[in-house]
Amino acid sequence: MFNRRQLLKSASAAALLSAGRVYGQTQPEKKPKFLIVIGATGGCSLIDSFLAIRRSEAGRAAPTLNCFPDEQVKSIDGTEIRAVDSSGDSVGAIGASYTAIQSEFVRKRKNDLMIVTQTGTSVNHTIAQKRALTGNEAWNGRTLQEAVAAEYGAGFALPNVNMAGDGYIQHGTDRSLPSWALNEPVANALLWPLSLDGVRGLKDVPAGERLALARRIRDEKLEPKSIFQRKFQKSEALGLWRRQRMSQQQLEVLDLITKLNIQADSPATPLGQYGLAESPDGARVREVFPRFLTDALEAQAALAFLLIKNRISVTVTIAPSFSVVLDVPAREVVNPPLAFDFSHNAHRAAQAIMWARLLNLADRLIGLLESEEYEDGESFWDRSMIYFATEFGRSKQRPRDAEEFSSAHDLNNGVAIVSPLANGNKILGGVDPATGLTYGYDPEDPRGVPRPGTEMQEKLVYAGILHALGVDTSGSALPDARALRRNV
Amino acid sequence: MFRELCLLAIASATIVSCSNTPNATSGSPDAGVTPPIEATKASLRFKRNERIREDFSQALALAPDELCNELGAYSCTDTVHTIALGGVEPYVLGVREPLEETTSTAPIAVDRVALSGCTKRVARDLADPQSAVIFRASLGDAGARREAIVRLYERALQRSPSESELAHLEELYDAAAGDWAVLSCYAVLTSVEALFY
Repeated sequence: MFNRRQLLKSASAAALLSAGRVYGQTQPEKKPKFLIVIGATGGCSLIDSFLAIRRSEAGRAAPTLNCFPDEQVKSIDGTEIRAVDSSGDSVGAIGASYTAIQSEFVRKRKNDLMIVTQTGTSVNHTIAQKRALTGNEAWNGRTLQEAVAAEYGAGFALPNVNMAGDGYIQHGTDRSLPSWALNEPVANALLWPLSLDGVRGLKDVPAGERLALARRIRDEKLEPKSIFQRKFQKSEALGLWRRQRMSQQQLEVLDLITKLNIQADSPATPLGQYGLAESPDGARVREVFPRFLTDALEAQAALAFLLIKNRISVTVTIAPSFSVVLDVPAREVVNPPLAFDFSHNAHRAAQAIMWARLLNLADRLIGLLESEEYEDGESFWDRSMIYFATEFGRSKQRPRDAEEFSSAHDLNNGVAIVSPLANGNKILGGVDPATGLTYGYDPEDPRGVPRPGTEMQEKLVYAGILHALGVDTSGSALPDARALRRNV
Repeated sequence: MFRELCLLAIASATIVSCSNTPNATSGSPDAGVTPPIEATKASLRFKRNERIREDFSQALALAPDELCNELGAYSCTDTVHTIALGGVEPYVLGVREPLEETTSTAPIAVDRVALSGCTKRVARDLADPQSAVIFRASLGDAGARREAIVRLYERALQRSPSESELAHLEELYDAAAGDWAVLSCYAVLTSVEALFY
């Protein structure tokens, strides 16, 4: 871990102290908890998964309500959380069949799985994505990830890494946060490690002490005396740049260009020719996420594990994009165009494929985190949480007896959270089988007492996540949301 | 009377500001040079990927697509480090607006682009002195080094270096010798004056 002791021993310790990260720390380092946000891009619907309604339960509403043939809605022993296992001959106009299984995830992870109903406040993708991360500006506009990074990330090289896009990658608006708590964006998980060293991987360039000398002459002699520097010395942009430059050397020392490199040496990525190597965990993550080259989300998940395992980050965000991903030889739609939002064209297929995709991916990521010890027999997973953030749900109606149809955005929905720190094997709230609308719960009762006729605001999920992760929210006026955390 | 006083005030302000305009040997508090007036707003912007690519390419007389390619194939400024360098990627990532602030990895990405480009420029100049753009003569000669730095500053920063800047980069030669040209080029291209406006 990139901790304070290492910093103080390093040649650049003085520089980092003045850069403000260590200097600004006023309390002892806290044992971190880890937040992984998986953006369910496009709008994932709880009534197409964990709160699915059987046709026999919907009564007179059944023909026009988004409900399923009874046999597709699975009840799992030991839990009220449901799952939908389904298949189809096409994905809208795309002539590819699919089989989508959710039940395995519920069966395996039910004790850590928590379903929480809520009603959002925007049907705009970008705005709603950001609100899913800020609780609709619940705490001065800071995102969940920024809050976790600010709490635990001071001793981490890149506390908050974000591989998503659109609203999921936007910074929050709380200017009181240190700059290092803001997310570090990653456009391409496969190539991003090349951004973590200023010289390695380049041919025939000077390195080592000579490069360090050139940097020192630039930083200590050329720049301070230049008219440009002296004229604009109050510039916040320059101040930030200097601090980031100082951190650069620490990133290079950590050899992240190797540790986070998922790829193996190949004609497309001739690592050896450029003095580079794959991560010691490269083969392991490639085995768990074999589609890392063709499916950006699998590469993101692999990198997310490496960032946490190598104690580089305390929070990582990944998400499928709106781009279509096809496995042509297998005639499989891996990621429909617009991801969950393909529900506008083919609701059942889009929801089924995407839910199975995200749950399967999360299960594999959890498996890796479970297998990696944090300390004293405790695994990384024991200290982690996965939050399936999403924009909104989908409309609850369908054309009479249609098994495939178009759906719109709908504010009424909920979220799924999986974590040993959450109030697992619990549904907070419920769903009305006659309307498909979710309703609320008592947020302070760990039993998850449902309250039909009520709707829950985004800030409750936001507060519940932060408190389950042990983030100090003093002064924020956030509700306790005790129902969302594991109470022992 | 009031109008004449206003005109006099404006003229005085103009004279003061002109005296702080960078002259032919600007860049340092060298003897006789008036210190610059500190900007109160100091509103600077990072050049971002496209401008860095174009400015560096022009300064180094390299085609934009040969400036820097990771693993010999992937454009540094347009593929690998696009977002880190403040660019956008609206079609896949949905990043439609550049990040407001520079990222932790932005200085690293800049280093890679500069080192790659400088290495290429120096190699070409030394291989073909007749066509050399920046490093035209034997760099073992102090005079040749001085002239090279002047050309580098003029191409990269559109000004001449000050005497102190020349001296500092000459200082680098003693320790860097054979790498001096690349490292001098790197130090200038990665200076904040080359990256912000």
